[in-house]
Amino acid sequence: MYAIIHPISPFDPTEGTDIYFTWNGNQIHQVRCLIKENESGQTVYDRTEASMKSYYTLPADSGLEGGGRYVVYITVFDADGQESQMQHTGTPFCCFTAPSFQLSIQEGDVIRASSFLVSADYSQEEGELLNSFEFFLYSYQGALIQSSGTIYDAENISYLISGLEDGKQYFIQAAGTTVNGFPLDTGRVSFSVAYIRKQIFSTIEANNLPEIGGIELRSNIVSTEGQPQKDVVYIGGACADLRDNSIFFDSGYSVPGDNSHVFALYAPAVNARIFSLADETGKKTVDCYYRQGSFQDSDGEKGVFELRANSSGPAYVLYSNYFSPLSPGEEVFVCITRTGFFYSIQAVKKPLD
Amino acid sequence: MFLGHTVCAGSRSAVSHAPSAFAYEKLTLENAVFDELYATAQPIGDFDGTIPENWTFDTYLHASFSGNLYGGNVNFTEDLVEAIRIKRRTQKDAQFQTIYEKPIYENEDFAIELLDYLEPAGPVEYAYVPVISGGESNYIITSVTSAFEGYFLCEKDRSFHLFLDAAYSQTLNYDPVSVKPLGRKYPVMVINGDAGYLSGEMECLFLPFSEEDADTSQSLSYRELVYEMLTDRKPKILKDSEGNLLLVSLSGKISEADRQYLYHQGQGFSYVRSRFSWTETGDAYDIGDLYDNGLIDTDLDRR
Repeated sequence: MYAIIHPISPFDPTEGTDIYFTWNGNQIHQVRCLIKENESGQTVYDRTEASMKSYYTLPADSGLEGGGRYVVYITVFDADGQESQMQHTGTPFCCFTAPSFQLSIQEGDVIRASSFLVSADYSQEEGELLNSFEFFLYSYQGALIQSSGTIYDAENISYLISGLEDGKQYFIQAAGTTVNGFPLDTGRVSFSVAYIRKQIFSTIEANNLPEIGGIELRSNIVSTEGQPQKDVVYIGGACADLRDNSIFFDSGYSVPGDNSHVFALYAPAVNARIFSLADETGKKTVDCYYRQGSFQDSDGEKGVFELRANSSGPAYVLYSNYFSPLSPGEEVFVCITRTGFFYSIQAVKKPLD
Repeated sequence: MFLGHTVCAGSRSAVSHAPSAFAYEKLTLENAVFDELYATAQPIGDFDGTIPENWTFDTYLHASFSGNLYGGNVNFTEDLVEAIRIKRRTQKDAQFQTIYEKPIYENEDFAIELLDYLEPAGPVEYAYVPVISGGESNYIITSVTSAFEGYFLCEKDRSFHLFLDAAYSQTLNYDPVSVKPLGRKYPVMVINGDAGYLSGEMECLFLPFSEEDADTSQSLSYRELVYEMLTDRKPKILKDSEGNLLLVSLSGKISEADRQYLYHQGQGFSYVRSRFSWTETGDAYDIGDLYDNGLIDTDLDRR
């Protein structure tokens, strides 16, 4: 009769493990554990411990190495010192250095959005691959709110958690297994959520329609990008220098009816066209020029914007209010408003942010 | 108005000849350093030098020139985006699943207007996902709670409300076979396959509604429309206000029990309750089953 050894999950040899077995014979008084290397058959561990239980505790100093594959044999001794039969075939197992499996969120982090892409980093010294993983989101009270389900895409250890409410605390946890069954667990990491509530406007709008039992989805996407004449230089990463350049918006840009445009700028070239609004043919235009000088009613040197709207022959010309010429560190906000057929232009000077 | 032109155009105008109110289709900036650009459908009266921070339904364009030239409310354009996917996640879904995909050829293709009938009652999330270089970019997510009264039979593009005198019954079918081996006191229950599907009956008064009243004059034609829908051999989605969502097919006859002629104050109509049997024939949450039964047009997230 021999002891039947239970399957052994991979473990870190520096931590040891309990090897369980089933024995239906006389009372156990001692347990012998013999471990051989799987490839060479060389004995690497052979100890007998006094024990009456049906498991053997492999200590942390067993001499086994991470990345190693071994075979274990268990025999038991009864009260008379009689040793049981050894298994014909040992039970194989692997040893791996405990992998590193950590979430991208740290304890106490504050998330500033209602949805968040959480990820985890996995690494293992002997190159053991990740087989699958799962993310869990818990409420502050510990109730499970969301789970990703088991995911097998080990190249992309991430999950999008959404529906996070402002001012609440949550726990996130990731668990997984390696290819050889080594269990992974990050433990629960707490984080809190704080964001300014979304405005009523939403880029993607969903409305419940109870009379038809459906959800209406509507996008309010505005996608437009300025097309430059040549590469744009950004000053301080916040301003586009178009003093020797120009950009235009057309695809995704269409403004019918009444409207206002506001331009925040500085260093405008004197007597040059600063901006232009045109129809699709380019024949109807609203151009704005920057003028600077002493005018009859300006009381000294002043800056002013000249608006020229041309749609059917003669130009409609309008001037903004005067303002003192811009100094370094100042910018001007120009507001062009069209209401019906009529335009207005206003200029406000402010310190540069 | 004089010769088709407006005169006396403005107090600071140098020429009294207002232009036509044409639509702007192109905006050009040049000869200065630009910090910010904003355009709105709301005319600004007294301008105080502030630009609103939040995007609203009136905003046409808002560019901050922070290292890029984007002026919309998203940071992608039709040059980069190959397609747009609409994904849905219900409480029973671990991941978002694609229910709609649209290729992007021009800027106008970003606009999406979609009616989703295939979601259960309860919280649902939708995501608008641009596909760039074959990969999905950032999800734009919105949440909504689907809520309605009674039951709905839904197809891909339409639904039928089952709530007038509606009655519903269902049975969970689990068919083990009892095997009595010799010499054994107790039978062995053998369960082959993964059988565990629902079937049931639905009974309802089918009447169309115009505004808030039932239109009894159209009861026959509406009933025939519903029967035609039920017998077109295509599976439907049957859902209720409790949150059940089933992919079902008609599995028996359609009978008209309880036929009465109701007469009141000089008007009458035939009160007819229709009954039909249904059987669950797939998983209403599975993208593969929905696609195979023609309820959605993409099986990108088929498992």
